[in-house]
Amino acid sequence: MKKLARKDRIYIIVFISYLLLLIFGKYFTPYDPNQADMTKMFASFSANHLLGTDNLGRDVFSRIIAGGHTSVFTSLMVILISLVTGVALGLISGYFGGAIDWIIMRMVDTCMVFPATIIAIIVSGILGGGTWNVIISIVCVKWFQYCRVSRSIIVAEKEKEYVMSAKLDGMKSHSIMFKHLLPFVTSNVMTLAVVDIGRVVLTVASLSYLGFGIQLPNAEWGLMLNEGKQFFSTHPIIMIVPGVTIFMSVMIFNFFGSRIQQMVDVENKKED
Amino acid sequence: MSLLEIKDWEISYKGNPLVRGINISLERGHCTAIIGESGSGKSITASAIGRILPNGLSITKGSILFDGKNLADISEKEMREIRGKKISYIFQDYQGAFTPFIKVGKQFHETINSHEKMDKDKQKKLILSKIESVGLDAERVYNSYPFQMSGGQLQRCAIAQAMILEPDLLIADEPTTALDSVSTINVLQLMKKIKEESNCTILFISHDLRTVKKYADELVIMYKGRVVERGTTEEIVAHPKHIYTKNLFASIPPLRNVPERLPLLNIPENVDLTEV
Repeated sequence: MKKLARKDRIYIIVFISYLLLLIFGKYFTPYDPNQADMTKMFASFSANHLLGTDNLGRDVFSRIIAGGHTSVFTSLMVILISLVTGVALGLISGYFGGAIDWIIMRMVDTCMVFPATIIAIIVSGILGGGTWNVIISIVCVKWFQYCRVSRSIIVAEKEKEYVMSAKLDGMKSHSIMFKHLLPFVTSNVMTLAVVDIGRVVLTVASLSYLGFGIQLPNAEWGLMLNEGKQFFSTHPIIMIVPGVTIFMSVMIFNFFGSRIQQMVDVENKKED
Repeated sequence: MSLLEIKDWEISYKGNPLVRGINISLERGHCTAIIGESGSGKSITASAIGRILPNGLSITKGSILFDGKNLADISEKEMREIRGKKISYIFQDYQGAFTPFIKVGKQFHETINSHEKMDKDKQKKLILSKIESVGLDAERVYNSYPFQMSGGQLQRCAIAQAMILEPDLLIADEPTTALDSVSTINVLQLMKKIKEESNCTILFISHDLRTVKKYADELVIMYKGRVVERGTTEEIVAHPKHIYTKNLFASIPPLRNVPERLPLLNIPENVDLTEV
């Protein structure tokens, strides 16, 4: 296997460390992220409270770490469920064609007509707040991207002789789809999924900020922005810290995503 | 009784017949070759036997009896049970015969598992013996990916895979076209050996007249979607009746005393070549 370039190794180390920090950091926070202490309201940065405290005296650093866990867990679940649903429907649609393909593709077209954020707001408005409802509402606007990509790959691949050969060996359709065709789809949709993490983190934060997403008392970046907005004129730092965290996280995820995309892109490999 | 009998067959694309009036019967243990130029309907006929016609094409007339069963009438499930077990295929594109990222051995296992319940060790033994019977290093091939093998090796491996469940009929759709001359001879001799040892019926599709003259027992000449002549190889080679067959044999370049140019097709204007 080709050794990764130094730059890529740095990207991967930063990305994985950041992901681990967000996933497991919650268990090592200096304070309970939901523990209010009215004697320490709006405390500024100090050794005891690295990023100060908020309007209820909760440690902002602990809440940022705990909020990161919520954001990353929600985003990864969204990506995972969208990926499984989209790829499964794309495989079925592309492989069988005909009426099934027509129905699935019209469903995709219908989903694509409406702006994604609006659908997510409507769905979470109907279902109500909460982590799983946010996940469902974002999955509703994500699955079809994976479905379209998978279908287009399958439509091209299924005409190749190895698929014909598998059919002629008497293999069942599900065997051909999952053992012979799925690996072709996986590499492409995985790249798409990595690029998507940043966008999903942003959507989760947006929904929570608007009050449709994660609900109190859970810590979540968008929710922290929402809570901080009424104190923006007097204590802007309560909004700035989660805002900068969202910005940094999305940037790290997007940088990593685009680099992965470049690494697997054949055209770019030629230049390397 | 013939193993396969095609009667008055018509294959159409959206109502337009592409292949019509096909009558072919394959005798058990014989090698029958379908020959003809590109576009004459050879491959479509072969695909239709396994019911793997491309989208839009369908059998619109006639019957196909395989072992007394009309393949045109049976369900897809029954057809799947026949494919691979009773009727096997080998294609021209040997690279396409195997999925590129799955080891060859595993693909053999999948073929067996699709039809029979057999324990893994027994399967492996059978696979290794089949690979060995086509003259390849069994252990190495078993653990190799398709891209780690040469064209000739892959095609021999494809034959081993096609023969793993000892089918009654092997359909070889131009299996030697993409191979060099040494690999071609190896593959043809292997097919001959299979025919002699397992009494397997072979339907050989080719446009290499020299090859079919040497290896086929019967010939079916196709032109523009019609069978223009059929009979035993000796009979047709010695006394071709149809004007197209005569011209086809006249176009084989001689190995000695090569003329400046090959004879042109000598077909009178008022003759309809599709007339049988």
